Amino acid sequence: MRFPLFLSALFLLLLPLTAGAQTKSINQFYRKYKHSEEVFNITVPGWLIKLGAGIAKSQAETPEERAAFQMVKKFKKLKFMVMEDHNLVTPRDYNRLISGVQSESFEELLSVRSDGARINFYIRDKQETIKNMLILVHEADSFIMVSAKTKLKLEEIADLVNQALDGDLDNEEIVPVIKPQA
Amino acid sequence: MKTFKILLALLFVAVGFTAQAQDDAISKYFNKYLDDDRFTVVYISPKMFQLFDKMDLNLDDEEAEAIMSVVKDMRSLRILVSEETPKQFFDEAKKAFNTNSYEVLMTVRDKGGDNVEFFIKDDGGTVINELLLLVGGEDEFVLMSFVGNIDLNNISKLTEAFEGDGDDANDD
Repeated sequence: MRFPLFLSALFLLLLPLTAGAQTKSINQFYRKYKHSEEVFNITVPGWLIKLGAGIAKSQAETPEERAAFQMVKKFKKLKFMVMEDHNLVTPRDYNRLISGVQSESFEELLSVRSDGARINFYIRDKQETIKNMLILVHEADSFIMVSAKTKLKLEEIADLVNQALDGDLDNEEIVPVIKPQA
Repeated sequence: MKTFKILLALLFVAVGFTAQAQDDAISKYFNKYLDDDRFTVVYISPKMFQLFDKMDLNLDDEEAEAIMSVVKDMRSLRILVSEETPKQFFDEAKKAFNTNSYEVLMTVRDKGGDNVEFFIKDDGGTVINELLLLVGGEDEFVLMSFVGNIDLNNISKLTEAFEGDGDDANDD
């Protein structure tokens, strides 16, 4: 009796770890559409993002740019899928993707629907760190999916926002001018 | 005694369902038009506001700080906009929210025929649980629902910050 108990405990312990790594719905969706001729897709591995962001950071001129590229380094993997002239994604697949990620502990941040276009933004986080991000733009004749694995800490995002705000305050002389309507 | 206990338990369950039904009035209305092509729909989830709440932003700007103090206590924002039969949607929404759970805060009607109504849901203190804005005119129907703990003191700070900004602009 002890052995199954031990196994159950181990299974329960490992469950959150595996849940953190799963994006089965996104992978299924990506695999289904990535081979279509009209689909542009690219997967950027973490080491390439790190390398690119590292080079860009060394060339950056302002502290805000450096902080932004430092944040880009926290992206472990990026997947892009773009359909420019035809949206091949069926409403059924789109809804299945959304319900799939929701069942994998992704949480909705915002959704917009206007004139037949839909924008959905989901994240999955754990202990104040954003682990996954999913942005979907679904229009009648185009489709964009950005899926990212990250280890972005909320405090790092706050730091970047604070730096950007400081930069704005330093440049207070730049005031937007609203032209009077004719 | 046993019957009394069962009745008491049933009463609690019923109260729970009633409270749930009241809370969901806006959700029900919003969900009704969620997939309706006549509407533009915006939804900012509680999660987004939770993230704002957890981020420690240093805002030196009085206006931005006042906005954040309101945003931090918010839990969700829903917007519905339609340019088709706005008057009909406005009347329907008014009927749906002019119930015991919402109170009319303010009504504005301008010469152009635009109606603006503010509804609130509160516990009687200075904190509002929901602020609902309805706009119905010839051209557009707008419904905005802010859910959260909206402190009237923070709203007044926000107004002051904007008024201060306006005064500065006038001084220039």
